[in-house]
Amino acid sequence: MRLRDWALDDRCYAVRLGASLMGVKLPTVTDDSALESGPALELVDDVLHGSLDILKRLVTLPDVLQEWNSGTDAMTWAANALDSFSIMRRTVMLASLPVENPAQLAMPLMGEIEDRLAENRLDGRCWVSGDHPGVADIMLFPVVALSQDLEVPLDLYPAVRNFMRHFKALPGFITMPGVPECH
Amino acid sequence: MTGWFPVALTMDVPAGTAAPARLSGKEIALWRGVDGEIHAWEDRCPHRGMRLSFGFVRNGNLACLYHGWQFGADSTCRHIPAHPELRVPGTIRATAYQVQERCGMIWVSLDETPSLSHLPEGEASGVRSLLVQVPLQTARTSLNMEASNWKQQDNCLFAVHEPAVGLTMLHVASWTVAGQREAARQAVQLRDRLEAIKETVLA
Ligand code: FES
Repeated sequence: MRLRDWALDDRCYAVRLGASLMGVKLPTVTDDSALESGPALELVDDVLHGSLDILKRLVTLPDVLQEWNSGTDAMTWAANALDSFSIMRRTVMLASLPVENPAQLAMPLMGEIEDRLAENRLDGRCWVSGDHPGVADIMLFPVVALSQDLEVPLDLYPAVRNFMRHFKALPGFITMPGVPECH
Repeated sequence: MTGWFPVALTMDVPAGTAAPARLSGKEIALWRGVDGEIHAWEDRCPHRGMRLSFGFVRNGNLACLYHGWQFGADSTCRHIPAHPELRVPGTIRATAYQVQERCGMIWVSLDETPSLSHLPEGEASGVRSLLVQVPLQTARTSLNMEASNWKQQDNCLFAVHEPAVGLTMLHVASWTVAGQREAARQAVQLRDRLEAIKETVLA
């Protein structure tokens, strides 16, 4: 099992992050097709594409805690958030001319995430997946942490900041370029 | 700009952390020592101008993320890692603003000696803050806030500030746990209504 990876891609980061948090050793091979089409997991007789399917597969591994699972709704929602964010981020970062006010692109999505996290918080829950972080939270983290690449002002999203702070404190948390370490 | 402005909820700057805020475009670093004391400083390191809100709290000081200069609760620089032996001159300091915590919210004033009489009183706790993409005046008018930037209604406190021109942050606190959901619901409803009106006008 190995991951076709592109270090600077947000969707690939979600998979590396998930593997690290779940305690799965996942060898990677740099593959520039992952820049376009996202991560792919090479298995003995199959190749899995996309962060969601790969993360779901990691949760089925024998040594991984079942708690990393998330409800289907939460996973679909977070996967859509990551997909649309990833498109925006690539549009901005690969543009030949600077995009004017890139934050404006991401703010509707950030607002939706903030609402969901704020509601969870009122229920006393820190995670989209419930009491334990899960695949949905792992896919959400790159979106909010890398929103800085689109110059999203985080003072406007306190529940997002709260989520990021808790997430960075998880054992096994890893960064990627653009995501500052926790202190 | 005179008076007190609610810039964040108390619960959104837990002990040992720093957070960014803006007041009409002015960037502010909020941070709380492990002793629970809140500080509001200009979000600019006196060394090379890095945002202090990216920093971290160490030994009761706020440490800048860039070169690690540490600033104490009195805002003077206490430690420069590149020159550990140096007794840092007291003139090197961050710019501190007046700050108070009332009703689950952090209030900042840019005045040197602001009066405390215009702040709400009581033991409310924060519910949530939310962005409303309309000018501050529009939000205040629809909340019937008249000259103030906060309003107490039943068991809730609604307060507003302007992070940047054309944007409003609505902060919500509640005196009862049972009232929290209803207060949050009302705030979301207000936001959706105001933003929908703006969309219609722009269309
Ligand atoms: S910019 Fe803050 S320590 Fe250098």
